[in-house]
Amino acid sequence: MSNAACSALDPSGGRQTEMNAPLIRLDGVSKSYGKKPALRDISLTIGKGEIVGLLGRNGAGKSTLLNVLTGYLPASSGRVLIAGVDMAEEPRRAKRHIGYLPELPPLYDSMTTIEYLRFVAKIKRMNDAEAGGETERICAEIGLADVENRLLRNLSKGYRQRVGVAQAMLGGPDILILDEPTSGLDPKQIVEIRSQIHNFGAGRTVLISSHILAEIAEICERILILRDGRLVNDCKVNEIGASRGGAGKLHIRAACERDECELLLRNVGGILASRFIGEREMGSSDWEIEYGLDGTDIRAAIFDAMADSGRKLLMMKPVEADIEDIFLRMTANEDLQ
Amino acid sequence: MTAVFRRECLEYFKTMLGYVFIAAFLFLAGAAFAAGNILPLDAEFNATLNNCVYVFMITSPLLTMRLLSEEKKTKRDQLLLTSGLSIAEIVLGKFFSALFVFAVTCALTSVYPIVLFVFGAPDLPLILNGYLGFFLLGSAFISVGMFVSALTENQLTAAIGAYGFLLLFLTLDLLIAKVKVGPISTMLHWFSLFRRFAPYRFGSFSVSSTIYYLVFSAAFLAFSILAMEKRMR
Repeated sequence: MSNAACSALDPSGGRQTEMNAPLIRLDGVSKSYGKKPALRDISLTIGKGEIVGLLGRNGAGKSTLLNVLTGYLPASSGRVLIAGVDMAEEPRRAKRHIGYLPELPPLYDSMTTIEYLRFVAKIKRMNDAEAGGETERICAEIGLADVENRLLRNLSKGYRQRVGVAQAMLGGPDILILDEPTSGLDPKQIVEIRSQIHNFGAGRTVLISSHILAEIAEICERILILRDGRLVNDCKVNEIGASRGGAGKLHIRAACERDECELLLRNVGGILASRFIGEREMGSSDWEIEYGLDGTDIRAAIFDAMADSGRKLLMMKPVEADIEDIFLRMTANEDLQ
Repeated sequence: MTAVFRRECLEYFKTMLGYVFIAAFLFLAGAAFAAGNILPLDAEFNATLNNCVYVFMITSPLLTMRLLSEEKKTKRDQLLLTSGLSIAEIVLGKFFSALFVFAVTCALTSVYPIVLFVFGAPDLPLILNGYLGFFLLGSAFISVGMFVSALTENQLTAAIGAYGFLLLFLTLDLLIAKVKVGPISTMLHWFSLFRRFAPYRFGSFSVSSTIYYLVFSAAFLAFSILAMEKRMR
């Protein structure tokens, strides 16, 4: 199953961005745990200013990819370049460009929020003055000022997650890598964090791994999909949203009863399937129509069929493919390419 | 490294761990002091320090068991290892924090010789020399505990492993008395962690023992770094 809207993967380096030189570049990166391969020959580039989502089912290799990118795990083969610096050759220099929030926020429960953030600032090589100023700034920005003197062990899950996001953003790294950043947050906090990630992403690179597909669609411009350790797709979010894997959908409302409408639709060429979805207005029927993406404008044919029979068309709108459906389709076991 | 050192020191004194260690050590060392100096009315403090070596052997895993194992278990090592710190900085920061707590504990035990000075005339240089040896031996114990803590994610396993290693070194001492083969006996003497404390106890500063303890500690810290690097692969 090939996704027509998504670009084919360039084996030499994935989708080349139109922005500046890539901040993240992976060349043929593989990682194995013993004999078990976790990542297979991943090549991609992510440019400055891009906000990219990383999707994949459990065990697809997302966390391994993030760990290799951040230098937590060495790649078994291939090269990881962060802002042009080779992670294997100069790991400390490469890591200075990265802020990382792992899946489990790495918090020390016996510290207060402010102590913890100052500690992170210090291990990021800030001096005392910089650490103090940066910690205050990030507390205000992420909304931690109220809890800055509270022990981390006493914070709610939502606040702990925010502290995790704050430590990753501390020092304004060029690259922000977030594993499930809104996990455990309430809806208001999710909106706030999304907005902060968006603001942070201006002029920087953000890579977000998430299972919440709507979140990826909300925040990211580009999606990378991993399956069995392979990068199987690299798309713009708007492309993936419009894509239906070779078929399109319309939602129509016609001013006629179900049986009559069904008969009319049967005579329209190009319709692959039609499904009655209810009677939302008196004397009308609503239908979901699936059609082939062969260039035929099915809308005109439906309109003509209704007009010729003297029936009125009350509504017609394209149905955006559900990103969950797309995700499930893309991460399913059939070959996408 | 200083950030890790400060954080670890804070951890010892913001949780019960540091206090439990100090209390346990002072209780047992106090018992040794009472039995060795107060009850027999003896001002020879270095015999008590010699007993304190065994007290620290029992209590040192309390200091070291969580240092590296807990970071791995809670995945906080992801923060440390992706921040730009080297593994050596992490290991050394943690090692020196445990050494600092040990030094604080040693300082607290100075009340015992002070009591002896109030009621008698002990030999100060002898006692200071004894403390130097005790501190060097303690640093060796801590480095062994660090190494075992780098091997596992479980604190209890780290503590039991540290006891195992230290008992192994103690067993070497027991073997020395039984082994009559010259070269082997010499070699066991050379490697003995505990017998190398004897010169400090009896008032002579031993350069070879000092170098031995420093090299021993450095070797086990290097093993800790290697163990962490291997675990990351």
